[in-house]
Amino acid sequence: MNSLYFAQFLVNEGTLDSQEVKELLRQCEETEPGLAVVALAEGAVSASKLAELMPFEKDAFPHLAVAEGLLFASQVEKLQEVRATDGLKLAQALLDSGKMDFVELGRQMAACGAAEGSPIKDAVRRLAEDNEEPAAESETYAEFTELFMRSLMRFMDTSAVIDFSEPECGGMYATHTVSQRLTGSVSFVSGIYASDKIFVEMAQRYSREMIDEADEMAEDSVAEFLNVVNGLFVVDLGKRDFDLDLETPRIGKNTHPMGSHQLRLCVDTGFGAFALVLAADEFTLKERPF
Amino acid sequence: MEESNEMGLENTTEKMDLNGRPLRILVTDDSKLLRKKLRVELETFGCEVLEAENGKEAVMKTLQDRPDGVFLDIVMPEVGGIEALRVIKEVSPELPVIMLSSAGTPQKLMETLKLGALDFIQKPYTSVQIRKAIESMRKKAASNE
Repeated sequence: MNSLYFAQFLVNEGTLDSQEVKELLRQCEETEPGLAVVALAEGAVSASKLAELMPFEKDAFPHLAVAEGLLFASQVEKLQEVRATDGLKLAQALLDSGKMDFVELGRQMAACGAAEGSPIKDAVRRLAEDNEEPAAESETYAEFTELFMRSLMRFMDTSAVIDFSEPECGGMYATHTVSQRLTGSVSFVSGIYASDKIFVEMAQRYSREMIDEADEMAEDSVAEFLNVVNGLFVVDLGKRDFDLDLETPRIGKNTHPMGSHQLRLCVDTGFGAFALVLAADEFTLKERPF
Repeated sequence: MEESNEMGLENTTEKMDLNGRPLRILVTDDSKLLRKKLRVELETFGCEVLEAENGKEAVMKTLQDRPDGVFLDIVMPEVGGIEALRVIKEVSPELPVIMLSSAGTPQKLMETLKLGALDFIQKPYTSVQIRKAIESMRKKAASNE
């Protein structure tokens, strides 16, 4: 199973809708995968065997699996060392919420593992096509978004998916926008558009500082996060002989991003939703203050 | 034992000095967060930390405060890091300058190394990278004295 993108796979397939995925990602923040889920994902126990064992308490499974001859004690030890990835947390949340049983979960995990390509890129391509973006822009946006989502999970310690609904940021008021232009062989502007509440949460998670309002430090933290992601993208493209430069980030308060060839992607995370905005030109007016 | 995180808070408490006095390091970045985090990191090594928000300020502080080493971002308002590096190297050719930037393309690496930068650290940095950077700044500064 491509566990990093399991949630995205389920959204792309229409297995989970926008509301369901938002709720599950919230649950993932407090969920630790049980050993049964890990064993299923690792192929150590089949879904049908797990279904036969049901019902059992999540924490009782290691003992039960050894007693029933499903796993050796040494296998249990190894499985307990497997890292609790976002995909495993989601699998546990799907079971806990009753949205799937072991058989359905096993089927979906196998389908996700067999799927070709990148679920994140597929989602962006689909949205770009709906937005009638040219193929070149669509590919750039897809590639960038995949890196952005990986970075979001890595630096802000959250599960995240692109969902197909219109991003809700609470309207034009009490919002923040941070954007940065990339220029050169490939040119576009990437940005984050969020309600102040989500903006502060993002700032806090990235900086690991106590930030409780959308102040200068919050703006600086989210701008630095975007700068780092854009930098990683520029470096990736640099390896393929594309020469790109970054401009200084811009900050906007209570504005509404309006760029040309603009794609607004709704990003759901464990701490709420925001919009990732990609456009051909700048959509935030003010530069970062000093 | 060393620990490394990507924003760089934990580290060893090994102190680095220059002939018995603290190493004086100028941190140049338009991000207040980056300056704050790097200050904490450098102070754990016993460094004295100066700050600049852009390339223009970095050049002025290099002339006024005579740091032993400079961390320099590239993407900054007013005067960017590459222009600042060029000027710093004109006025203090031996001063160790390490680029610390998100824009670490092969082209930028080549350009800054040609201009005399000692090294290039791609953001996000790790504590280990910073410790190595200070050590190389200290060696270079010691050989200049």
